[in-house]
Amino acid sequence: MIDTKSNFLSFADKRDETLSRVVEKIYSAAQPGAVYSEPVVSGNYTIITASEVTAGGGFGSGLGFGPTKGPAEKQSGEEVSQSQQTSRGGGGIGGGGASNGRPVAIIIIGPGGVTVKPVFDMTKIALASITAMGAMLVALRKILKASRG
Amino acid sequence: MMRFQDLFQVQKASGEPVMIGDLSITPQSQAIIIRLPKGALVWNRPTAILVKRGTQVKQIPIVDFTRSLQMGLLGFGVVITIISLVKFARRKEQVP
Repeated sequence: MIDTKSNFLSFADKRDETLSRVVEKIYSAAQPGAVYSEPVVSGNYTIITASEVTAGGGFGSGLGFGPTKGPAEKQSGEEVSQSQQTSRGGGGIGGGGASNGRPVAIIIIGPGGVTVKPVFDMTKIALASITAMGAMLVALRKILKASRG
Repeated sequence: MMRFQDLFQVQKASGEPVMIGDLSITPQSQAIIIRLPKGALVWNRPTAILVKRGTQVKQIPIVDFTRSLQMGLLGFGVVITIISLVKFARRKEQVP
């Protein structure tokens, strides 16, 4: 039983280690290096991409153990001593995470100086437009219905 | 019990300056970090670049036009919806 307990304790330690490693990796997305790309040189121009980065993750674990009745007791129906008892248990770890990056602007360094050109994500703008238009159409329909009624 | 400051953090950071000719470009970013007991969420976005040429220092902001447009459109939609719903409610009250 003591062995099982120590196994579980080492399992818990490993779990904490893994958790801290995963969380540290997520926090690395908070560094400016995650947002700005390495400069790319082409002729007289140097280009740096600036992106928005989102990263997240979660972690869960569980374990449990307890004494089980020995085979001797099952057969004879007699009580078994503490030393004869066996212990069983189980544990598990689960986790998930995701990261997302989207270019926001391109920094161009050339002979003319430094310029920042924005990057438009047309898909996102189109989706926002459709949502806004949908909401407005529903509202307009309600107004028309109200004015008629 | 986690404190709010430990849970939610806004972190502004400057990266390593990039030297290009006589120009020194320092990238700046802002990260929002949400620390959870068993996980974390990080949202990092570029805010500006600091351009140094000799003694001249110029800060060029980085604007996320996609996000601004998205928020503008969604805000417009929400405002129009609220106005129309208020009008609708008033109209309903007036009708006996």
